[in-house]
Amino acid sequence: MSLNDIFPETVPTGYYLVFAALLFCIGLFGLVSRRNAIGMLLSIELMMNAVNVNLAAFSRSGLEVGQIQGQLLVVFTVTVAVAEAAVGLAIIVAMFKLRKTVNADELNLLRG
Amino acid sequence: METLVFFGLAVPILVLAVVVVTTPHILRAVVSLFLALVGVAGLFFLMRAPILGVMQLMIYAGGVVVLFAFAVMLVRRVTGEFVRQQTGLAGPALVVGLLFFVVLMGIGSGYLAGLEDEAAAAGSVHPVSRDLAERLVLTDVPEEIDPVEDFSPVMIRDYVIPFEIASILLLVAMIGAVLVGHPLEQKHPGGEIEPEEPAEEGEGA
Repeated sequence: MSLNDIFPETVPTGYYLVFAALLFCIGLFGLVSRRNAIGMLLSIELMMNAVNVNLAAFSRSGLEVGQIQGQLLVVFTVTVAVAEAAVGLAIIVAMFKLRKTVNADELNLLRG
Repeated sequence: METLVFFGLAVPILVLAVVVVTTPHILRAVVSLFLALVGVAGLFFLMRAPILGVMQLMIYAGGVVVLFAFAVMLVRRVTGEFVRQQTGLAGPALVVGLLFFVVLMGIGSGYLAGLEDEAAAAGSVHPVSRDLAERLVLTDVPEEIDPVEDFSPVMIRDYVIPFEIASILLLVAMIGAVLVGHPLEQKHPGGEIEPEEPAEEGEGA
């Protein structure tokens, strides 16, 4: 028994796109308004997920049925996102050890 | 029916996302992000992409969020509580977010209208784009494919080079994270460290 038997009709792809746009903009708001570096990384994760939803939705409504490349692209973006989160959190922890703060507006080493 | 399930997932995800970006308690934001990611996994299942749903649950909900929780605790243990989470830029940030949403919607609807005009003007010149436009707005039953069975041949046969490059990227990220997060020597107890030393330490990774 597949999902098509349970749900005889599907959600239009446009719904997914609007949802992903909303999620991305919420993440963008958080990225700009957060002061804490960890909070900024959380917002970036939200934006990454919005992009993944977009890719999967376009993969579902692809030009040729049965193509799986869009989902494969999500696999690679997830890989990059995870690497980014790991390195980013390591940088935050190291930054905290050195500067005793993780607030982005107090990090002014490059101000000169 | 499926639309109901979609909204039942999408609305809580958006509410949780707002909590993530606005709550003053950073650990509460992490928990909200966890729940939102689980909801996105449900959306992946709804999109007939079960592999992505399982991946989302395992990697994001199982790995990344735990990493975030550890980082919060590592940082928090010393600073005590976090105060004043927001910059003074909440208003401009709201404007930026709303503006970006409007731009995205404008581009999307404009593109769709262009496709429809094109398809209407020249009947069979662009069957591909007309097909895309139809799929964007219509609700049709997708043909029966098996995303799980179709996945591995494409990934291992056709895209094996990117697959291996991704593994190298993960290895590099792992080594880099260890190097950057390595406990630095405590030569400067308490005081401020000169800016040059941490810069060199960071570039070693």
